[in-house]
Amino acid sequence: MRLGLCSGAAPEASLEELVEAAARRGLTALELREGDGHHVGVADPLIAAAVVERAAASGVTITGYRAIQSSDPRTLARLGELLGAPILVDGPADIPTRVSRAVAIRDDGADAAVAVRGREAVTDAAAVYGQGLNVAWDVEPGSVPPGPTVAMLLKGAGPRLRHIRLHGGGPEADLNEGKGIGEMTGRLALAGYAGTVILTPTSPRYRIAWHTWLGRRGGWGCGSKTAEPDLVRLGNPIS
Amino acid sequence: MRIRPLPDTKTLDVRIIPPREKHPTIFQTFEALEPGDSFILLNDHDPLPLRHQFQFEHEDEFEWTYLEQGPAVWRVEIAKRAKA
Repeated sequence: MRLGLCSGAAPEASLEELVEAAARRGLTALELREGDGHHVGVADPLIAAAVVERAAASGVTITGYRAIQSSDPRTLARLGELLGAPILVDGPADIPTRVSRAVAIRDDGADAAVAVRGREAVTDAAAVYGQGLNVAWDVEPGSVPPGPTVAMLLKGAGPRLRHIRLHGGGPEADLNEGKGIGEMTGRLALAGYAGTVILTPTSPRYRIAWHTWLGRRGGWGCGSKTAEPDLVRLGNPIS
Repeated sequence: MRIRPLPDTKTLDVRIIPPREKHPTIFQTFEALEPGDSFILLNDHDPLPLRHQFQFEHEDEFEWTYLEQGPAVWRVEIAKRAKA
């Protein structure tokens, strides 16, 4: 499992600032969201190679480009090839539309995944990996139980579950207490999950907390003195 | 500092886990291992309190090997000893 950062955690930040922040926090993956301040996009795909080189120099890998607008699949495919990273097809369109876009990107020679989320994540994921595409799961703790959901996704998608974006990690981690993140993480570890877990804020109102968190090293407490075993249930199998 | 990519193995990155769930998650993951198996623990500080807890609760049942010791990331391979 590789832990990383979404550019949505600092939407005004330049690529340089994002890479430095990720490296400072020991995060080895960076997901670029379309439209953020890094300015990497379909308008000028040729800068992608320089982007990859700059990130790699700090030990950070671009692990995905989240496309949320209806850009031309061929241009997105070209961008993905130059970044050496999959295009994560997201946005307001329904699943069949997103799957079609991802298939078109794949047919143009690039790696593609489709974003799934919410209560339909498991059902939608089946439509995604049924087309031979990878799954990018958006986790919003509180909307679905992450532990049982990831177990079902791992059972169905297997190695095609490649990208997970967690809303509310980082400085918001305390707010996720009791919502199943421990269980989710344990299940991912035991399954040998080798994909990414990308951190992103739950809301723009936490931007100051994220800005502070990204600007410093160190943890926010190991929790050894206040551990609560009843908050984690790894032993319950999924039927 | 350049962080080396992880090999494809069981990796438990506790940095995303709420503090009060970290130790329970780690111990339940350890208990779910088969004898002879291991996982890599990733943390943002040296997990010494955890090591002490392992020594208290699982004396002679585990092995603890540091793979990386900061400054941003600590990696420890925690193995469940095979049964004699």
